[in-house]
Amino acid sequence: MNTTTFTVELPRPHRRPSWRPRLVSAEFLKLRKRRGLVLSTLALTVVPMLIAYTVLLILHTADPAKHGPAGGLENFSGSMDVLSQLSIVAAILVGSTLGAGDLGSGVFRELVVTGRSRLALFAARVPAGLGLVLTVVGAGLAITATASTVFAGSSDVPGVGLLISSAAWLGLVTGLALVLALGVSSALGSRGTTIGVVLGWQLIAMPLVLQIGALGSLREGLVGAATERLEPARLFEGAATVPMSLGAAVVVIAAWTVVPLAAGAWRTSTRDA
Amino acid sequence: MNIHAGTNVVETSGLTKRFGDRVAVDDVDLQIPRGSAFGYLGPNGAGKTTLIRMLLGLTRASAGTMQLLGRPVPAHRAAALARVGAIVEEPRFHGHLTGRENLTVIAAAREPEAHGRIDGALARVGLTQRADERVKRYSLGMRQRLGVARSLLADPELLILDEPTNGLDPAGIHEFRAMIRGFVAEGRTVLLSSHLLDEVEKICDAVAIVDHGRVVMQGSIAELAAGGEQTILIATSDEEEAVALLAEHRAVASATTAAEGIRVRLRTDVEAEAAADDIGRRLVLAGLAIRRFEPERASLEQRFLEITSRLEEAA
Repeated sequence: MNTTTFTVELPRPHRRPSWRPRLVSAEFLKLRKRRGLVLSTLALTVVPMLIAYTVLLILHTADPAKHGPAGGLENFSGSMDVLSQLSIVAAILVGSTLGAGDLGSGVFRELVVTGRSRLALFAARVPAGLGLVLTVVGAGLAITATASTVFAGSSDVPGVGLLISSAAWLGLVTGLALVLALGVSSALGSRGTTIGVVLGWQLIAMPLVLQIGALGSLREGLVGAATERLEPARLFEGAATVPMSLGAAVVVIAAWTVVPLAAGAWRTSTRDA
Repeated sequence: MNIHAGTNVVETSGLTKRFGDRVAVDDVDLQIPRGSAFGYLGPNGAGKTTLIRMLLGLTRASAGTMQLLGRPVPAHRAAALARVGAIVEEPRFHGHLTGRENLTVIAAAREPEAHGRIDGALARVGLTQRADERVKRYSLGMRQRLGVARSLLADPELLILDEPTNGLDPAGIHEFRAMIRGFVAEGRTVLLSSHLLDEVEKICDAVAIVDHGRVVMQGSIAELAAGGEQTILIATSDEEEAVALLAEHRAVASATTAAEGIRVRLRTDVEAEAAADDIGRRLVLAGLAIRRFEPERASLEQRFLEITSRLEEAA
């Protein structure tokens, strides 16, 4: 009996295309190509750490009796204090650019015309912004951690546990500042206004309000109180300004993440493009 | 490109947009046939861009319904816009990105195949050599071309171009017209909004004339122009006798002498060609030598001015 063999090419299984990575890549491309923004974030995070440890090293080398080692736990703590504040500023710059960049250039309209969901366009900004700001802040932290360890001399060295918890905490405060700026910027549609409002709130108004004891437990609703509650114990000395439970801190942080993002997403979805 | 069959690519019914008390688009019923270049013609402020913005989902309609490529919008906006390319007003870009990067950003928001169309789109508009320069260094003409390249990433069945030749030099305008006709030849439909009559007349097959937000007339260019006033320019051996003869003709609305001859305006309710034939015959039978006999076809511009001036008088 003769047999005939037919070869049939089976259709490839249809895979639903994933949009998000391409949108996130596009958002990241827009950010990383802004030289001024990238240089500013580097100048706020990496450069101060390099300068600080270089100066400390020179001082220690010139007069070891008067100036202690450049590294060590104490200097790590001081550097982290500065780095966390500057990282917040860097995150606000990136977040406000992300939220209002497409609107300011007029490209938001062109993106909407593609038919893509406005929510998807908004959502792609979050990982892209975190990608940039955490990379830059991570570089600043890496310098701090390395210098604190290498140049510790006879001082206490920050342990691995402290370094990890410090990195996580720094990532948290930076990420919170980014989503706040992104949400406000997307809602207002103005980068300059957002920078002014959010910087003023984060660096001036909120620390002042946290100090007003008469407000009592109302202060627990402030994100600054919650992040202070989560600070690594060995990193900063002294009791928390606003004592609160861990659960309350988590709820407050979740609220300060969700509310700005929801406001930004809502405005992005409803505004005339 | 896979062009789907179907009669109209755009259909609107009672489409209205109000800004407070002001009505920018007023009860517009529009049908744009597939495979044509369709002009949306009207003076500045007539509501052309607002209509386009509603079609594209950039702003919401106050009332009425719309369909793009057979799909109701905004309900099926994403599916409809997947095959629509558009330039609304001046095309905008990220100045700090190159032309290619700008297209990459838009391609990321479209179907995965869009990325593979970037090189072809850049070549189509003649920007391959300048694609890796930052857009902030581009001239207005280059930006317009990059805008077209961007709209081609959708492999569009429908291209919506809002005042696309604004700011272009004459050579650029000429090139742009040829490009648009090329798109139509490929089976794509082009909706061209413009306040330039000449542009619409040269590019488009059909037109809707819009004024104060309302579509006042819609049809093919020939139909609209034919609906206007018909005149004949005549020069004879005896103009006085000719004018007297013409004044008695039932098809003639008026006959006035001018430097180049007698301008005969026909009544709008007569068949122009037959009337012209009869007028010529009578002049010859009367023994007049005819030196010039020139029926003047009304241009779209004349028709447009007629319509809009009539509206102004009515107002």
